[in-house]
Amino acid sequence: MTYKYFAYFLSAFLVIFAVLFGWIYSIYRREKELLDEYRRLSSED
Amino acid sequence: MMESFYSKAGNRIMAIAISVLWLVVLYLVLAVTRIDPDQQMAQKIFYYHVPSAWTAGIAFLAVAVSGGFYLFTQNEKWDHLGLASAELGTLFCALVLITGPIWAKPIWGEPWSWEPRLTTVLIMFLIYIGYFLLRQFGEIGERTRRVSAVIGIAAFVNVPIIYVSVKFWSAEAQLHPQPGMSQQPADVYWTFILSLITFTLLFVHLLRNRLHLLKLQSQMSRMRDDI
Repeated sequence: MTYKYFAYFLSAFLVIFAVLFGWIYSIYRREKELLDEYRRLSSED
Repeated sequence: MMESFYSKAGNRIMAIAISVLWLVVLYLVLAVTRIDPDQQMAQKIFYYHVPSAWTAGIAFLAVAVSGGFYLFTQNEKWDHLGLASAELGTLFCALVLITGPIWAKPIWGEPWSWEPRLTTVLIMFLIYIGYFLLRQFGEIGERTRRVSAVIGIAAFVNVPIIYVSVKFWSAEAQLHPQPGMSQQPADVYWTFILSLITFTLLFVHLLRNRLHLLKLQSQMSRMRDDI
């Protein structure tokens, strides 16, 4: 029974971790794409 | 000169400090706080569920305040602050709506109940889905930004309603727990406070990160136009 309750806690914790980590990673990827484009455009000038 | 958010030492230090606080909270939750005899480990979801709701409330307040400033000044930076806060508020609101049913399933026997607190939080989430539909599909420009600001201000009315919903409606309609934190034992109280601080710092950090990206997007947009 204890393990069942722990599984619920673990599920909630992992969901929060995955959502926040996913958010941070998506911002990082978008920032990287923009900076790559910026460097490419700057080098063409 | 455009540079990465984490190229600044202060932002890296902040990210490390928040990660350490996150681990300390996890340790306190797992190893120090008492286990509720009825709800056992499921009760500990509370240490993440309530701070998520608190953070969503702060974010929605930021949307309303920045919306007000935008309507007065028409300055793009207030629109950026409103958009970034709205995104993060909705993200944390989604976490509330996910972790709540995970807790409710073993405790209530069902993941959802149409009682006042849950229903008002869901309404808040749906209002912000509408906000993003407007931002995504509305015409690009001043009008959409102004309407978004007005929606952000109007939507904030729901935050105090969510807060008082456990008292506003009759006791028979209530199912959501209403713990008085000041009466909680020290281990529960201080772990909860530390979790609140961690989530608040995380929100501020994520908000600054998102604002940095919006600034980069604006700069790039102008650069493309110039070319």
